[in-house]
Amino acid sequence: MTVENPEALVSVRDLTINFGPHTAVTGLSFDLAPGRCVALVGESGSGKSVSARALLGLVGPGSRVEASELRLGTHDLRTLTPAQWRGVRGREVGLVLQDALVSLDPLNTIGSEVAESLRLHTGLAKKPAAEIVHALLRRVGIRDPEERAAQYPHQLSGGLRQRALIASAVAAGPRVLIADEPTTALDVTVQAQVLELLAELKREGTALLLVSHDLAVVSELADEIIVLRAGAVIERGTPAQILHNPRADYTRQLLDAVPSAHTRGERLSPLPPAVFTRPRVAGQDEAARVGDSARLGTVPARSELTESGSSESGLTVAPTAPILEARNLVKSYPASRGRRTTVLHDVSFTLERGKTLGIVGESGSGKSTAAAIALGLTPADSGEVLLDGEAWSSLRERERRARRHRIQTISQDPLGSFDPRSNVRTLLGEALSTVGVPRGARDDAATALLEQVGLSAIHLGRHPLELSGGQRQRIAIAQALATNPEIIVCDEPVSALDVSIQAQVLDLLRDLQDQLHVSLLFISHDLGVVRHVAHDVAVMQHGRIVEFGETGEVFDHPRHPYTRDLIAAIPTISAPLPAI
Amino acid sequence: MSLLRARPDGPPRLPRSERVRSAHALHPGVALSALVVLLLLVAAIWPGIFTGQDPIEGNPADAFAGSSAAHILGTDQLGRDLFSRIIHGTIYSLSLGVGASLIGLIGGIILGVLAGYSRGIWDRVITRALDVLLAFPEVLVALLTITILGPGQWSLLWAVGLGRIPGAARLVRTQVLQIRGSGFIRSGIALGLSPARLVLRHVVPNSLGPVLVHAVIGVGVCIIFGAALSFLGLGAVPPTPEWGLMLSEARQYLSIAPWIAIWPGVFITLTVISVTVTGRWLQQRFISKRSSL
Repeated sequence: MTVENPEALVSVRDLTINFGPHTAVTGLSFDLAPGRCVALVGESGSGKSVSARALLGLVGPGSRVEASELRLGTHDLRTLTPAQWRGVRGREVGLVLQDALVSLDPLNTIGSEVAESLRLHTGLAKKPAAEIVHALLRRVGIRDPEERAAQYPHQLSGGLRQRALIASAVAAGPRVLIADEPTTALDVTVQAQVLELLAELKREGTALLLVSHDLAVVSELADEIIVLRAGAVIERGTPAQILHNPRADYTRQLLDAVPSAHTRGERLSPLPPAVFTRPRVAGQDEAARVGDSARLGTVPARSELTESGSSESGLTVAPTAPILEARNLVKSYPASRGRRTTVLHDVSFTLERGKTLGIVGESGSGKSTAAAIALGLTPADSGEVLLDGEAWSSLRERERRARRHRIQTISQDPLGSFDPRSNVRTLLGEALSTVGVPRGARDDAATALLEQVGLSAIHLGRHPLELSGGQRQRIAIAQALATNPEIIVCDEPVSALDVSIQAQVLDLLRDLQDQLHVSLLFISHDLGVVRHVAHDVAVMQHGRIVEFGETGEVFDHPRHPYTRDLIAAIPTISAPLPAI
Repeated sequence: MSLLRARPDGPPRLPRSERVRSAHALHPGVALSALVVLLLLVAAIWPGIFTGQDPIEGNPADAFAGSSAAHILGTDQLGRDLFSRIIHGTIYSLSLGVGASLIGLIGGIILGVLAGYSRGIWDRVITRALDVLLAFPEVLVALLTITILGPGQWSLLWAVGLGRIPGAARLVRTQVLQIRGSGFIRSGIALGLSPARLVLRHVVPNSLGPVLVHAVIGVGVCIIFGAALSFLGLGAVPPTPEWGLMLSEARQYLSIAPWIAIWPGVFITLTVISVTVTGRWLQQRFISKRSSL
């Protein structure tokens, strides 16, 4: 692959990027020819984005970019002045970023956004430019371009925004398109559409440099995959080689970490299982804990009990009652002009003891609202949630607070759910205080929690900002475990994590469930993840549960057309690869 | 996209940590202001260190004397040493500035948190009352307060301080509304924290950033406003060596002894600038750094 290729639009040889003493990329070489796609794959910090940005001169301040060759068309990118760079960007090479809502100017209509780039490089007048803009928008698959061009980014759906972003990137007709995580923030059906659009651009002769953390996404487009780790090339080859016959351990690890149908019941990460113990909490309100301790003693037997439906036992609570049951939830929010938008229509589901219920759906399907109602954070308009067969959502907050320790939550963004003024010690200490752990015992208890989630006492004094995303999610899990809960509501717990970190967190959640028999309400847009973790699954669309059943049954024999669409849209690495 | 600038061949820029540190470094102007504030504080607490002369009793025979060894800044219309009067007046201006700003801060926090966290009827009552207060010019509010309380140092303090409350309360309320909707408050509720703990330990500390800036800048504003009210005869009463009052008394003699007016004016200006510059620096150095974490 290192053979000199005169046909190539882009030639990169021995690219090295340093930030001060820190090396971000070393010795990266690749060629990109028209109509071909090279994919840089890796986890955060692997140097994949920064390598792509070197082709745009956007590596950032404080950086040193060196290469024995860095050529784009006829330009030697190593010697460009800022003014020359501006001529290259947009005209020769376009950039599509991950988050279209952030990457598009909120005060610009998408029409003027696309026109800006077009007019800058072609010097067209407003009138003729507008017609080309409409043609461009139509080309990226936006229907009614005349109407859409006048709209602002916030008025458009995520898919339309991403299309608009692509339109502005290709407006000046660049021969090279760099797509940096172009589908990461998108729902799976929209992701499929955007990938199809990129494939079409590629067929029309655009050279595509794709940057992604997702091997499955990449496998559908790429002609060559380069796996990066900590700035170094780990492995490179065709998708077939990389995906089906990886040589490097790291590549294999990455592939193993992807949750899917085949990984059910298997560990995703190479880490050993975590060991969890129920905390023996002194000074807890005995009255509130009687039920728990009774249950604690019989935990191993209970999951069998519930499965067989038997009810012979000395438990204070009927063991047949599901731990969490949502009945006919309806929720609406006021919308414009006095109307109301209904986000939940008659939603019912049950979470069995010690099991995981996965709720999947795309953004706006109402799954997070359902979670908030289950947590007692948002009141439902009608319907109710029962906790362990007893009233929960209908309680008054004062009564609910005494039982909140039984149901805890882990969110997608732990940083947002931690008080920015807290460090790990105060975060865990506060959670422990709600179950009456005395001040003097909190550090020990917090350390025990940290050790269970694979961290240690040295993290007590850390601020969440000083921790990595995976460590933060572990802290969130430790915080949730502090109150010894029976249920943990996980709202997109792994969607902000790298695949290998995601694997660790998913394994951790499974160990936790195996050993503590905690029931998990697992909300995710990622069907692969849900298929891996959930015993039962509820598929939500437009505020309704369109399908509900045992996970294997739902995925293998989907009955609802929407479920079928969702499953079909999942990019898979096992799909037959066309030889190009 | 063009916001990002890269200069692969340009001079290397400092790493972020270096730049942040240099932003907090002591600028010469800031150092000078801090020194002035320090001297003013000493003068306010121990005026005797700077001058041995009496600020109240003067010798009428020495009236309107220019600057000399005996009287560095000269004397006023009653033969009192001007430097001594200014030094002894420091305490009035500084305490008024800090005190009034504190009244505004504390009142603003209480009302703002009440309005923002309770929402509902309390919010509506408090917000409307603040709107009414904001509709009046500050001078009018101050005049009203002094009319009710009678003239004097304490009424001046309240007159200036009360006028600061509505602005501060609005800032706090907006922050509280924003913070109470944030993820960590929701997760605190889900954790089972009591409302009192949520408000005092999480909502209030995270809502204070903007109002602290408001209070720090307010010290200088209050000093000027207090001096202005004293100038109008609504604050300190003669023979108190209050700077605004001194200005007011001196204006009759502007043509024959301009320094009697100039020096208090110079000190008011100097104090306000130094206090504001130092306060801003302290706020950037300590408050915004912590809240940005």
